[in-house]
Amino acid sequence: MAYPMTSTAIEASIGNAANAYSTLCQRVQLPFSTNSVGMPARQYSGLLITKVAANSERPGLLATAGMHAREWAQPDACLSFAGKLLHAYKHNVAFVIPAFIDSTGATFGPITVAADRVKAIIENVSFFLLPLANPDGREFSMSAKVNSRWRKTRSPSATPGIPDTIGVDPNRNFDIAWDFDVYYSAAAVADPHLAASKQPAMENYIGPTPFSEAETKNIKWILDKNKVDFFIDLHSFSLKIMYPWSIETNQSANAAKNFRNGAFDHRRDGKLGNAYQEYFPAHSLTHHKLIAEKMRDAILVATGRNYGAVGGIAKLLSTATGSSSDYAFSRQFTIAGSRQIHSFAIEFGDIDDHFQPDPVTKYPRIEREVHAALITLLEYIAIWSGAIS
Amino acid sequence: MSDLAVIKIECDPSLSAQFKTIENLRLTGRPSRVAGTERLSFDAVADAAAQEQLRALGCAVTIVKTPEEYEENVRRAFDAISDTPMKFDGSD
Repeated sequence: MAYPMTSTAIEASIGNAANAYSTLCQRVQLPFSTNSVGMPARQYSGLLITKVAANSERPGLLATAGMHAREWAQPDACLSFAGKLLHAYKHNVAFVIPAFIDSTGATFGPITVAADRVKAIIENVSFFLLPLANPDGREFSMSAKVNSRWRKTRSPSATPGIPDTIGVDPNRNFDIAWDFDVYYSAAAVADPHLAASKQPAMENYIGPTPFSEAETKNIKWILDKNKVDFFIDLHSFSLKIMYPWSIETNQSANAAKNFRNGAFDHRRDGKLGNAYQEYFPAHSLTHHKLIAEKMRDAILVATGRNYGAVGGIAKLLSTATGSSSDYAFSRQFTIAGSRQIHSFAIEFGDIDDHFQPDPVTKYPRIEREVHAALITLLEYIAIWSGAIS
Repeated sequence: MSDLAVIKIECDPSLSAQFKTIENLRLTGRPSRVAGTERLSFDAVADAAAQEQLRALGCAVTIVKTPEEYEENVRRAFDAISDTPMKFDGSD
């Protein structure tokens, strides 16, 4: 396959998958159309891969990529992953990530997942793949080299005529501590450790309201309408495998310290240390760490690259509000009857790969790393569900 | 040709408030914490003058890609953009 595909080619690929494997997957058109400057409204799709009955209690995974327009590699890698997985199941063969030879000549992999385990995955896990969460952003970033660093959506600006004010950072637009002025101290809001902004011209603009963007509404819709127990959001770059919280560092000792408790409004500092840390149930934290380490280990085997930074997002990066992975995780606390969603975010590749890794010398490694992370997570979910031991 | 290099900036976070005054410096993405400390590492693209200003502030600046290398990186990615979808027939 050719990398990088346009948004149109990615949408067509989803349709091709649904046609080629009609008994294994279906194209799911998302309900909210984009509203982007200079572009027609666009409806776009995800791919639901499963042999699980609709009313089954089997677990579900939602994987999203391409939320940030300029991050070109992960959407293509997700689709090639889907292709390999579906092919392996249909032909009753192993899923194989081919060996990788690095620039020093060292060989890593291959990784082989036996056919019976592929069968267990497809027949016991509902896998909803949204390979391109921000199609208009990607189209704009591919429209000219000068636009290649575009990150946000392309929704109209409140101040037309200033190009940088177009769009919203979708990964700050989810409804989790969205209005950071409420949650953090004034000093923390002014501090560079808080990577979210109310200035439309900034790359991390949170938007005028939570879920102001069709792109984030669609992800909420998927979470509302599907049984999702695991969520992973694929980004680039910095070789990090992370889990919530992004709004603060984690602690498991004091359940009262949580984002729903107004007693801590205006008191969060966004810093390391224990002045304020967000509550993360201990058993769940252990589980997240275990899964993240499994993905790290699989990537190391696949390509020899060490995604050594594993942990809570706010411990590894600066703090930020409104992120997809925090939102997915937070639903268990805010929506009555909501399932617990195990939530992850991975930053694939490094600064040398940058946002548009070279198709020949860089992309093949990242593609293998995406495949290693996803097959490891799916295999884990199948084990967790009791389908394989 | 663009004269922007891909750089990594490391400095005391308090200095980053002055980044907005530096022309031709574009931060790219969210800062990382440096080895579990409050120090931050920023990824950016910047021209030579912006890099000098960063150093004058007291920041450590590492060039990851020269302007030529970055330009070539972006050019190769753009040249490969494809309108051809995956077929999902086993040939992809």
